[in-house]
Amino acid sequence: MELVIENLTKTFKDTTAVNNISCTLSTGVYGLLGVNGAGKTTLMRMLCTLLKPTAGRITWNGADIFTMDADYRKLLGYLPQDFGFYPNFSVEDYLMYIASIKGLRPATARQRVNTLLKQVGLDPVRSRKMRKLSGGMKRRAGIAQALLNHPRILILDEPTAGLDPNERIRFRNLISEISEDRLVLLSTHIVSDIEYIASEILLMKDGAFLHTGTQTEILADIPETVWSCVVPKEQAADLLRRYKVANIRSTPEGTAMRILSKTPPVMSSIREKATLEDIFLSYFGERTGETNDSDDIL
Amino acid sequence: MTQMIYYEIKKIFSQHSAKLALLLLCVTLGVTTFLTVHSVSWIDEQGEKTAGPSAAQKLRAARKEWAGYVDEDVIRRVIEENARVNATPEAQSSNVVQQEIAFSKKQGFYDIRMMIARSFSGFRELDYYLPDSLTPEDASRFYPNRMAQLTEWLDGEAKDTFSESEREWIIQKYQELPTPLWYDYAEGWLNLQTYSATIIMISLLILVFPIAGIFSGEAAQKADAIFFSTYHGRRRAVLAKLCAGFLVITGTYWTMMLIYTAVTLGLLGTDGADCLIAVFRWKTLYELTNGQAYALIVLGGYLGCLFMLLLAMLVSAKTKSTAFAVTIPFFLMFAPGFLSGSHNAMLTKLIGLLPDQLLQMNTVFSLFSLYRVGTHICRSAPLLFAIYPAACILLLPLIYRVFRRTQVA
Ligand SMILES: Nc1ncnc2c1ncn2[C@@H]1O[C@H](COP(=O)(O)OP(=O)(O)OP(=O)(O)O)[C@@H](O)[C@H]1O
Ligand SMILES: [Mg+2]
Repeated sequence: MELVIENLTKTFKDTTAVNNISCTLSTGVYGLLGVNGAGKTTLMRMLCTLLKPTAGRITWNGADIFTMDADYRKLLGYLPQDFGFYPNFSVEDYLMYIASIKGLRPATARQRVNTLLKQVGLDPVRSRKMRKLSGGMKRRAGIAQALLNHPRILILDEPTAGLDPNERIRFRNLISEISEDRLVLLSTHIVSDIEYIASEILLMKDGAFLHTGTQTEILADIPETVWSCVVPKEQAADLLRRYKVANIRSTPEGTAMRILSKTPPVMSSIREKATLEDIFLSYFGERTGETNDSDDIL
Repeated sequence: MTQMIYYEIKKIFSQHSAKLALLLLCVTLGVTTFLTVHSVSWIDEQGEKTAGPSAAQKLRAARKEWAGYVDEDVIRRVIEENARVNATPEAQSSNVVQQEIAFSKKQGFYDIRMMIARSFSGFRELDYYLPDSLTPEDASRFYPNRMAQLTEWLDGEAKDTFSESEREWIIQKYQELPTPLWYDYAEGWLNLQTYSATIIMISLLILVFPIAGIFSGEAAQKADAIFFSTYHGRRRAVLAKLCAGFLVITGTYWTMMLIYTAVTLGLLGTDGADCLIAVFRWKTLYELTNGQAYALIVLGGYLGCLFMLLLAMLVSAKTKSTAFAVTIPFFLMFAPGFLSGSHNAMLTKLIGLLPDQLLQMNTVFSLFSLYRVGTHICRSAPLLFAIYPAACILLLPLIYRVFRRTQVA
């Protein structure tokens, strides 16, 4: 079971969204981490045969996925980032319809829909119209449809966007539950999502992978060191300008800062253990201001 | 597969616009049927006018007296009877009611009187009052007139329009018409023929709204990413959409026409199905009975609707724009109107083969345009019935291919 991406490139008119990416994915949960516009969605669309690559190829167990066509899609579950429903379908109808185009037999589909409605907690609203669902409920319906066909390959594009913290935890647990013996690729710019569940992390920036590896590998390879220090207020402003600052907080003793730097920013700096958030800042530092969930990062 | 088609149809009709369309179709059906049935009128002995089914019943009784072969003897009797009514004080009176009373006595032989008017008027004119000036001796010229006027027209006004072989072909068609013609009361069929184009065209223009969204709706609702990433997404699910479109078009159209036809014939009578249309359109090149002609009108309407709606579906699949797709039938229906002012012979012939003609086969049966296919000469109706089924059959795989290759960017 191997999904191999070779020199994959996708160019839109003037932007290269995915730039010569290569990697091999097998069973496990992969966290695709990157800021807005990194090319996550474009990569995933190609993995779902929705977009033809400009160059390069994707193979599943050696066969080109675009040649496999339906045989490949049979293995696929996809939750798009920004997706719509048939607004006047009930949740149940919606899932039954998707089950039918996924090739499930009606009787199997009925059972599967019942199971999934319970699993994602939508059973009480099964006959409610899709357009009347809350954002979180819609996303759960989206996850349910992705799982209908017991996909071997599950691709989730920012599945936790718009979920409240409770939902987000529920969702993480759900993914952990189902991730056994599957390939799960999920994209996010929310670090905590993958901190708990991803076995491998793919750091993506400007259409390319900056770094890939397990959390431990990535943490060990951090290009900078994490320091903490307490400095007088006047000095803090200066440090903010010169360094990537992961955290800043006023204390009675002065301003406590968490700083990423190759060398100690001030004499009294203490070396800290790096977390995934520090990694994010280290790689995507300059652009943290652009991300939606900046409160999660800083 | 049936499951998929079921949900596709459900998708179509779950939209408010589709529900509104269904409502409008029902209104159209009701109004057109009412107008069709009420276009039959009867004037009683007091000169009072009534319309609708009861009028049709009286008219039917009056016309039945004249049903049968329209031979020289019948023509003579009509000319005599017509003259007799004209001589009555009511007909001589300048009072409108009196004149209506006089007219009421002509209702039974009105159709045959019109045949006489057409036979004795010039080829491209109709003088309604002409029968009033005929004498019984003129009856013998009734059938020969048809050919005489044709040849006069072919030698004169239409001299440059037809080639020698076309000319012979037309003359032969005229000779083939079996005379004497059989006449019967036929208000049911005649009114169906006249008004069916209205119901066909309006249905098409309403139906395009739900149909145009079948393919573009996926992108519009942002449901395309999931749709195309599924097992059947680029195969059977597309086919299901195509089937759903076809079923909705076919189902709606035939339901409308069936109800329309059944109610109209039920109220106006089915008599006259076997009369040739030449009885009512003296100059036609088509040797068809009323029933056959109406069947072709309805079938043509179906083909025209199917073709235009499939084309709208293709545009919808290709451009992902419902709005653009909706304009297709409007364009195909109204654009030829702007061209028809032209005197270019080629262009006129081309216009005769455009799909809007299928929506109004009734007028096609009165046309004189001829086409050459190889060495064959043919009229437009057979050509239309050859071209458009083929076009529809070609459109189906085209729509399928275009849509299944959609990229979701
Ligand atoms: N259909 C398209 N046409 C042109 N450019 C596009 C298209 N889709 C994406 N792009 C461009 O490709 C780049 C990558 O976009 P993509 O949506 O893949 O990023 P992303 O990592 O998913 O971002 P986000 O976190 O905001 O979802 C962006 O610069 C974007 O503007
Ligand atoms: Mg994205």
